[in-house]
Amino acid sequence: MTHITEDELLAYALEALTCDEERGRIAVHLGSCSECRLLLEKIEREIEILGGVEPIVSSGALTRPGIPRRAQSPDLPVRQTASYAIFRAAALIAIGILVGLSVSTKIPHEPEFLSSSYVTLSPPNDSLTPYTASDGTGVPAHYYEQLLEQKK
Amino acid sequence: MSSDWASLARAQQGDQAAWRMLVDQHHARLVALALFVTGSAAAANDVAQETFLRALNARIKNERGTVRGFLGTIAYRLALKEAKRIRRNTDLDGEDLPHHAENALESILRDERDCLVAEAIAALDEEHRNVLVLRFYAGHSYEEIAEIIEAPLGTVKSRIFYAVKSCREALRQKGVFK
Repeated sequence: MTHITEDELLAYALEALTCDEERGRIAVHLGSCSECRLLLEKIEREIEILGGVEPIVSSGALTRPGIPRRAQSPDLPVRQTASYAIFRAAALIAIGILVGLSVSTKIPHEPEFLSSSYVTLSPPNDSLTPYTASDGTGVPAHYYEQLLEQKK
Repeated sequence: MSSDWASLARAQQGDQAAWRMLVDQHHARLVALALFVTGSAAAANDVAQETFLRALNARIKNERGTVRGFLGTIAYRLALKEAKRIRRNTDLDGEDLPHHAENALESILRDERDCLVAEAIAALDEEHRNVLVLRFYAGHSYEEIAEIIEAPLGTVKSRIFYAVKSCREALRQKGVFK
Protein backbone atom coordinates (compact mmCIF):
# COMPACT_ATOMS: atom_id res chain seq x y z
CA MET A 1 0.00 0.00 0.00
CA THR A 2 1.35 3.45 -0.89
CA HIS A 3 0.98 5.75 2.04
CA ILE A 4 0.23 9.46 2.01
CA THR A 5 3.37 11.57 2.42
CA GLU A 6 3.78 13.67 5.55
CA ASP A 7 3.69 16.88 3.51
CA GLU A 8 0.41 15.83 1.94
CA LEU A 9 -1.03 15.02 5.33
CA LEU A 10 0.16 18.38 6.67
CA ALA A 11 -1.53 20.20 3.78
CA TYR A 12 -4.65 18.11 4.36
CA ALA A 13 -4.66 18.92 8.09
CA LEU A 14 -4.23 22.61 7.34
CA GLU A 15 -7.03 22.50 4.72
CA ALA A 16 -4.44 23.98 2.39
CA LEU A 17 -4.87 21.58 -0.48
CA THR A 18 -5.98 23.42 -3.59
CA CYS A 19 -7.30 20.41 -5.45
CA ASP A 20 -10.56 18.70 -4.46
CA GLU A 21 -9.46 15.47 -6.13
CA GLU A 22 -6.33 15.37 -4.00
CA ARG A 23 -8.39 15.93 -0.89
CA GLY A 24 -10.72 13.15 -1.89
CA ARG A 25 -7.87 10.73 -2.59
CA ILE A 26 -6.36 11.36 0.83
CA ALA A 27 -9.71 11.04 2.59
CA VAL A 28 -10.36 7.69 0.93
CA HIS A 29 -6.91 6.41 1.88
CA LEU A 30 -7.33 7.56 5.49
CA GLY A 31 -10.51 5.51 5.67
CA SER A 32 -8.51 2.34 5.28
CA CYS A 33 -5.04 3.12 6.63
CA SER A 34 -4.60 3.37 10.39
CA GLU A 35 -0.90 4.28 10.07
CA CYS A 36 -1.69 7.42 8.07
CA ARG A 37 -4.60 8.22 10.39
CA LEU A 38 -2.26 8.09 13.38
CA LEU A 39 0.24 10.35 11.62
CA LEU A 40 -2.55 12.77 10.74
CA GLU A 41 -3.67 12.88 14.38
CA LYS A 42 -0.08 13.60 15.44
CA ILE A 43 0.15 16.43 12.93
CA GLU A 44 -3.17 17.85 14.10
CA ARG A 45 -1.99 17.82 17.73
CA GLU A 46 1.18 19.64 16.76
CA ILE A 47 -0.80 22.25 14.82
CA GLU A 48 -2.94 22.76 17.90
CA ILE A 49 0.21 23.34 19.97
CA LEU A 50 1.48 25.87 17.44
CA GLY A 51 -1.77 27.77 17.74
CA GLY A 52 -2.07 27.46 21.50
CA VAL A 53 0.69 29.60 22.99
CA GLU A 54 -0.76 31.21 26.11
CA PRO A 55 0.99 34.29 27.50
CA ILE A 56 0.61 35.23 31.14
CA VAL A 57 -2.13 37.85 31.24
CA SER A 58 -3.74 39.71 34.10
CA SER A 59 -7.27 39.69 32.73
CA GLY A 60 -8.60 40.72 36.11
CA ALA A 61 -6.96 44.10 35.63
CA LEU A 62 -9.19 44.89 32.67
CA THR A 63 -12.19 46.73 34.05
CA ARG A 64 -15.24 48.11 32.29
CA PRO A 65 -16.49 50.68 31.54
CA GLY A 66 -14.12 53.40 30.44
CA ILE A 67 -10.40 53.10 30.37
CA PRO A 68 -9.06 49.64 31.18
CA ARG A 69 -6.42 49.54 33.84
CA ARG A 70 -3.04 48.46 32.53
CA ALA A 71 -2.57 44.70 32.82
CA GLN A 72 1.00 45.27 33.79
CA SER A 73 2.43 42.44 35.83
CA PRO A 74 5.41 43.31 38.05
CA ASP A 75 7.10 40.24 36.55
CA LEU A 76 7.12 41.79 33.11
CA PRO A 77 10.36 43.69 32.61
CA VAL A 78 10.23 46.62 30.20
CA ARG A 79 13.52 46.81 28.40
CA GLN A 80 14.51 50.35 27.72
CA THR A 81 17.74 52.05 26.94
CA ALA A 82 18.65 55.41 28.40
CA SER A 83 18.30 57.13 25.04
CA TYR A 84 14.84 55.60 24.50
CA ALA A 85 13.75 56.73 27.96
CA ILE A 86 14.87 60.29 27.19
CA PHE A 87 13.07 60.15 23.84
CA ARG A 88 9.93 58.95 25.54
CA ALA A 89 10.07 61.68 28.17
CA ALA A 90 10.55 64.34 25.51
CA ALA A 91 7.69 62.92 23.49
CA LEU A 92 5.41 62.97 26.56
CA ILE A 93 6.21 66.63 27.16
CA ALA A 94 5.60 67.49 23.50
CA ILE A 95 2.29 65.64 23.45
CA GLY A 96 1.23 67.39 26.66
CA ILE A 97 1.87 70.78 25.07
CA LEU A 98 0.00 69.85 21.88
CA VAL A 99 -2.99 68.49 23.81
CA GLY A 100 -3.13 71.68 25.85
CA LEU A 101 -3.13 73.81 22.71
CA SER A 102 -5.81 71.79 20.93
CA VAL A 103 -8.18 71.07 23.81
CA SER A 104 -10.67 73.80 22.89
CA THR A 105 -11.25 72.39 19.43
CA LYS A 106 -10.91 68.74 20.24
CA ILE A 107 -13.85 66.55 19.35
CA PRO A 108 -14.69 64.16 22.18
CA HIS A 109 -13.70 60.64 21.34
CA GLU A 110 -12.79 57.44 23.05
CA PRO A 111 -10.08 57.80 25.73
CA GLU A 112 -6.54 57.67 24.45
CA PHE A 113 -4.63 54.74 25.73
CA LEU A 114 -1.35 55.77 27.30
CA SER A 115 1.35 53.29 28.03
CA SER A 116 4.55 53.50 29.97
CA SER A 117 6.44 51.90 27.10
CA TYR A 118 5.35 54.43 24.51
CA VAL A 119 3.34 57.60 24.33
CA THR A 120 0.22 56.61 22.47
CA LEU A 121 -0.70 53.48 20.63
CA SER A 122 -2.38 55.51 17.94
CA PRO A 123 -2.75 59.26 17.37
CA PRO A 124 -6.06 60.98 18.24
CA ASN A 125 -7.07 61.22 14.62
CA ASP A 126 -6.43 57.57 13.93
CA SER A 127 -9.55 55.64 13.07
CA LEU A 128 -10.02 52.21 11.69
CA THR A 129 -12.61 53.39 9.18
CA PRO A 130 -11.02 56.36 7.35
CA TYR A 131 -7.99 54.27 6.55
CA THR A 132 -5.46 56.00 4.34
CA ALA A 133 -2.41 54.90 2.49
CA SER A 134 -0.24 56.58 5.12
CA ASP A 135 -1.49 54.13 7.73
CA GLY A 136 1.27 51.74 6.76
CA THR A 137 -0.31 48.60 8.14
CA GLY A 138 -1.05 47.20 4.70
CA VAL A 139 -4.57 46.17 5.71
CA PRO A 140 -7.00 47.38 3.05
CA ALA A 141 -9.47 50.06 4.04
CA HIS A 142 -12.52 48.41 2.60
CA TYR A 143 -12.02 45.44 4.88
CA TYR A 144 -12.59 47.65 7.89
CA GLU A 145 -15.26 49.78 6.30
CA GLN A 146 -17.35 46.69 6.00
CA LEU A 147 -16.77 45.79 9.63
CA LEU A 148 -17.24 48.81 11.74
CA GLU A 149 -17.30 52.54 12.15
CA GLN A 150 -16.31 54.55 15.16
CA LYS A 151 -19.12 56.04 17.19
CA LYS A 152 -19.41 59.70 16.39
CA MET B 1 -27.28 37.55 15.78
CA SER B 2 -24.90 34.81 16.93
CA SER B 3 -24.26 34.45 20.65
CA ASP B 4 -20.73 35.87 20.32
CA TRP B 5 -21.94 39.02 18.62
CA ALA B 6 -24.78 39.25 21.13
CA SER B 7 -22.22 39.06 23.96
CA LEU B 8 -20.20 41.85 22.39
CA ALA B 9 -23.34 43.95 22.02
CA ARG B 10 -24.19 43.41 25.69
CA ALA B 11 -20.63 44.27 26.72
CA GLN B 12 -20.91 47.48 24.70
CA GLN B 13 -24.07 48.31 26.63
CA GLY B 14 -22.33 47.88 29.97
CA ASP B 15 -23.04 44.25 30.82
CA GLN B 16 -20.17 43.35 33.15
CA ALA B 17 -20.67 39.61 32.80
CA ALA B 18 -20.57 39.84 29.01
CA TRP B 19 -17.47 42.00 29.25
CA ARG B 20 -15.78 39.50 31.56
CA MET B 21 -16.63 36.63 29.21
CA LEU B 22 -15.23 38.54 26.25
CA VAL B 23 -11.97 39.20 28.08
CA ASP B 24 -11.65 35.65 29.40
CA GLN B 25 -12.21 34.18 25.94
CA HIS B 26 -9.94 36.41 23.94
CA HIS B 27 -7.40 38.26 26.08
CA ALA B 28 -4.57 35.70 26.14
CA ARG B 29 -4.90 34.94 22.45
CA LEU B 30 -4.80 38.62 21.49
CA VAL B 31 -1.73 39.14 23.64
CA ALA B 32 -0.07 36.18 21.91
CA LEU B 33 -0.98 37.59 18.50
CA ALA B 34 0.45 40.99 19.36
CA LEU B 35 3.53 39.42 20.93
CA PHE B 36 4.38 37.57 17.74
CA VAL B 37 3.87 40.65 15.60
CA THR B 38 5.59 43.23 17.82
CA GLY B 39 8.17 41.11 19.64
CA SER B 40 7.48 43.18 22.76
CA ALA B 41 5.70 41.93 25.87
CA ALA B 42 4.70 45.42 26.99
CA ALA B 43 3.41 46.35 23.56
CA ALA B 44 1.52 43.07 23.32
CA ASN B 45 -0.39 43.78 26.52
CA ASP B 46 -1.15 47.32 25.41
CA VAL B 47 -2.31 46.22 21.98
CA ALA B 48 -4.69 43.71 23.54
CA GLN B 49 -6.17 46.32 25.87
CA GLU B 50 -6.53 48.86 23.09
CA THR B 51 -8.26 46.19 21.03
CA PHE B 52 -10.92 45.68 23.69
CA LEU B 53 -11.33 49.42 24.05
CA ARG B 54 -11.92 49.86 20.33
CA ALA B 55 -14.25 46.89 20.18
CA LEU B 56 -16.35 48.34 22.99
CA ASN B 57 -16.63 51.68 21.23
CA ALA B 58 -17.16 50.38 17.71
CA ARG B 59 -20.52 50.48 15.96
CA ILE B 60 -20.69 47.19 14.11
CA LYS B 61 -22.03 47.76 10.60
CA ASN B 62 -22.39 44.10 9.82
CA GLU B 63 -21.51 40.96 11.75
CA ARG B 64 -19.11 39.62 9.22
CA GLY B 65 -17.27 36.52 10.35
CA THR B 66 -16.70 35.88 14.03
CA VAL B 67 -16.07 38.08 17.04
CA ARG B 68 -12.77 36.26 17.35
CA GLY B 69 -11.83 37.34 13.83
CA PHE B 70 -13.13 40.86 14.45
CA LEU B 71 -10.98 41.29 17.55
CA GLY B 72 -8.06 39.59 15.85
CA THR B 73 -8.21 42.00 12.94
CA ILE B 74 -8.16 45.03 15.22
CA ALA B 75 -5.29 43.59 17.24
CA TYR B 76 -3.33 42.63 14.15
CA ARG B 77 -3.59 46.11 12.67
CA LEU B 78 -2.64 47.79 15.94
CA ALA B 79 0.25 45.36 16.39
CA LEU B 80 1.57 46.05 12.90
CA LYS B 81 1.64 49.77 13.60
CA GLU B 82 3.34 49.23 16.91
CA ALA B 83 5.88 46.84 15.41
CA LYS B 84 6.80 49.48 12.87
CA ARG B 85 7.24 52.08 15.60
CA ILE B 86 9.32 49.72 17.75
CA ARG B 87 11.54 48.84 14.79
CA ARG B 88 12.18 52.53 14.11
CA ASN B 89 13.08 53.24 17.73
CA THR B 90 15.05 50.04 18.26
CA ASP B 91 17.10 50.56 15.11
CA LEU B 92 18.02 54.02 16.34
CA ASP B 93 19.27 52.53 19.59
CA GLY B 94 21.22 49.86 17.76
CA GLU B 95 19.71 46.98 19.70
CA ASP B 96 19.83 43.44 18.43
CA LEU B 97 16.25 42.78 17.32
CA PRO B 98 16.17 38.96 17.48
CA HIS B 99 17.65 39.08 21.00
CA HIS B 100 15.08 41.65 22.02
CA ALA B 101 12.27 39.44 20.77
CA GLU B 102 13.60 36.37 22.62
CA ASN B 103 13.73 38.24 25.93
CA ALA B 104 10.19 39.48 25.38
CA LEU B 105 8.96 35.91 24.91
CA GLU B 106 10.69 34.66 28.03
CA SER B 107 9.22 37.48 30.10
CA ILE B 108 5.63 36.70 29.21
CA LEU B 109 5.66 32.93 28.73
CA ARG B 110 6.43 30.77 31.74
CA ASP B 111 5.66 27.42 30.15
CA GLU B 112 8.88 26.10 28.61
CA ARG B 113 7.12 24.47 25.71
CA ASP B 114 5.27 27.70 24.93
CA CYS B 115 8.62 29.53 24.93
CA LEU B 116 10.11 27.11 22.42
CA VAL B 117 7.01 27.20 20.23
CA ALA B 118 6.96 30.99 20.35
CA GLU B 119 10.65 31.12 19.42
CA ALA B 120 10.00 28.92 16.41
CA ILE B 121 7.17 31.19 15.29
CA ALA B 122 9.25 34.32 15.94
CA ALA B 123 12.07 32.87 13.82
CA LEU B 124 9.84 32.80 10.73
CA ASP B 125 10.17 35.64 8.30
CA GLU B 126 7.48 38.30 8.57
CA GLU B 127 5.21 37.21 5.73
CA HIS B 128 5.06 33.59 6.88
CA ARG B 129 4.73 34.51 10.54
CA ASN B 130 1.89 36.94 9.88
CA VAL B 131 -0.11 34.38 7.94
CA LEU B 132 0.33 31.87 10.76
CA VAL B 133 -0.68 34.48 13.33
CA LEU B 134 -3.72 35.56 11.32
CA ARG B 135 -4.83 31.95 10.95
CA PHE B 136 -4.19 30.54 14.41
CA TYR B 137 -4.38 33.60 16.65
CA ALA B 138 -6.68 36.01 14.82
CA GLY B 139 -8.94 33.16 13.78
CA HIS B 140 -9.32 34.14 10.13
CA SER B 141 -10.22 31.93 7.24
CA TYR B 142 -7.80 31.69 4.33
CA GLU B 143 -10.14 33.84 2.25
CA GLU B 144 -10.14 36.55 4.93
CA ILE B 145 -6.36 36.40 5.25
CA ALA B 146 -6.02 36.74 1.49
CA GLU B 147 -8.16 39.86 1.67
CA ILE B 148 -6.25 41.34 4.61
CA ILE B 149 -2.78 40.84 3.18
CA GLU B 150 -3.97 41.36 -0.40
CA ALA B 151 -2.49 38.16 -1.72
CA PRO B 152 -3.94 35.30 -3.76
CA LEU B 153 -5.60 32.48 -1.86
CA GLY B 154 -3.01 30.03 -3.14
CA THR B 155 -0.21 32.19 -1.76
CA VAL B 156 -1.84 32.24 1.66
CA LYS B 157 -2.18 28.46 1.71
CA SER B 158 1.38 28.05 0.52
CA ARG B 159 2.69 30.37 3.23
CA ILE B 160 0.77 28.67 6.04
CA PHE B 161 2.03 25.30 4.85
CA TYR B 162 5.63 26.50 4.80
CA ALA B 163 5.25 28.27 8.16
CA VAL B 164 3.85 25.25 9.94
CA LYS B 165 6.32 22.89 8.29
CA SER B 166 9.26 25.10 9.34
CA CYS B 167 7.99 25.35 12.90
CA ARG B 168 7.43 21.60 13.13
CA GLU B 169 10.98 20.92 11.93
CA ALA B 170 12.46 23.46 14.34
CA LEU B 171 10.50 22.02 17.24
CA ARG B 172 11.45 18.49 16.28
CA GLN B 173 15.11 19.50 16.49
CA LYS B 174 14.48 21.00 19.92
CA GLY B 175 12.74 17.85 21.09
CA VAL B 176 9.31 19.44 21.54
CA PHE B 177 7.82 17.36 18.74
CA LYS B 178 8.80 13.74 18.16
